[in-house]
Amino acid sequence: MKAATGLRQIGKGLSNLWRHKGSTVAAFVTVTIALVVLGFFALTWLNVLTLTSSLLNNLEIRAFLVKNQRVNQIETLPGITQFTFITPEMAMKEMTDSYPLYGEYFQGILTDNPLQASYALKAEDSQLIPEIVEKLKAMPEVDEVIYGGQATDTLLNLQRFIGGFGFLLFFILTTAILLVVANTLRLSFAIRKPEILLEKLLGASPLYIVGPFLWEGTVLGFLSSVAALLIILTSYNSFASWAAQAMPYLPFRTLESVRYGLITAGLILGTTMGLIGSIWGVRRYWPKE
Amino acid sequence: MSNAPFIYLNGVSKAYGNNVVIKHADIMIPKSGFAFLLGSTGAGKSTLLKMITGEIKPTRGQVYIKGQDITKWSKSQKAAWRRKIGYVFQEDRLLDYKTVFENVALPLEIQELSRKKIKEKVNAILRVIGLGNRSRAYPHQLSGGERQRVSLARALVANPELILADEPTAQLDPPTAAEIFNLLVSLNRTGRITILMATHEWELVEKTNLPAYFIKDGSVRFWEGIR
Repeated sequence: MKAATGLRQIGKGLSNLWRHKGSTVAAFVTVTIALVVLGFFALTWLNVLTLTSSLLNNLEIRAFLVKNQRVNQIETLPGITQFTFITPEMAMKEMTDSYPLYGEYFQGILTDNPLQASYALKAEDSQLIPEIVEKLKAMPEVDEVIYGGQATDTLLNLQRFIGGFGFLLFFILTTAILLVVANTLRLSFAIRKPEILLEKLLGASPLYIVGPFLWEGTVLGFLSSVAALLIILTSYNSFASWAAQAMPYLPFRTLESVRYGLITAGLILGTTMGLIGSIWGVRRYWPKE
Repeated sequence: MSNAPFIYLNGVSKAYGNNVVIKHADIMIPKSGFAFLLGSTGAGKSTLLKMITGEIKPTRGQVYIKGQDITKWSKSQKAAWRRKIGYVFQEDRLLDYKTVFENVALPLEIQELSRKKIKEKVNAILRVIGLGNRSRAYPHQLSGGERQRVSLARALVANPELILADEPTAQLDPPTAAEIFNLLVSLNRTGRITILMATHEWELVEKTNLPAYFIKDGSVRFWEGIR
């Protein structure tokens, strides 16, 4: 197909959108809303992921030892990024530092230090924590292992749930977008039927006939994604500014950190959905040879 | 097969379920020939024209175009053949939302000609057809005769090898009908374009010295014209 024909088809696609303004606006609004919901969900998911990852990364495994000696096997355990050997003296200092009022009292009444030596460990990945704990428990040198087991499981479950829900929501909303675009294109096809029949009779190739409809769907998807991104980015900018002041202790994603990723993903998703929706809408007229 | 007739329908028939529209037809039109397809409304004239364009397949028989069986052609071969045909319809089939210029330009756009070439060809044909000053008008702003002339301009603009005219004068007043018919005859004689014109007007056929194929009760008979 020549470039001039391609340009003519873009023009036809745009004039199609204009000719049935009512359904174009309805499709534009619906697709925009679906993309806005998807965008907000993606941002929520990102923030939950950041929050849970941050919490999980700060989780510490504490392994108390039978004897007050370093254990090489623990220090070389796979999946460990950081370890600190805590002697009974260091543990006592930690405790007296934590309770300054009672510190001298403890030291006065205790003739012997009853605290055990231990290891404070950090895992490379929070998902590895349960496995590391099991390995530690199996070691004869280890007396007891303490970690935020309940918290870890809850946070990991939350991550999995939001991921699964997000996948379902993505599937439902993208299907809705495809249906809306396909129906708009079917309507457009019906409106242009006399012209299409004439074009076929005059020997137009199938691609020449469906070309404007593909452009129509693609432009609709692109414009909807631009509108959705404007809404999402403006709203998130306000939210991020408010959250930074109201909840400074929580690591919310800044607008700068998500902006380019969101714009790229939004434009690609909207435009691709528009194109796929239009192919779906005119599939029965698709070139077969 | 250089000596083959331009169009040759060999023993074709067409049935839609139990409804037999064409029982038997043998039609042969030479290159640069002119022939009528005469029959009452619903006799099967349009069916025969659609077989020639490749839009429908005959139930039996073959349709040869320049010696080649069109029923064996691929869709793209049929599309290429249709680009060589000019169509004139009873109801002009102009697109109301396009100007005269845009309507006439449609076959050239399909052939992917450049904008400049399209402009040249469309303006030239509109001048020939006497509508040079109406190129920006919309179909609803034209008279019946003008609309049919635009339709004729659209049929001619791409230099067709064949013109299929399906009752082109049926909805026109007698002077305009005569004008359009004379234009077709002159295109055949001077432009050497092959023309097949479907009509139900026996008077028109009788007046002219041109061959005709009569369709009656699904059978087609040949009338050579007055020699």
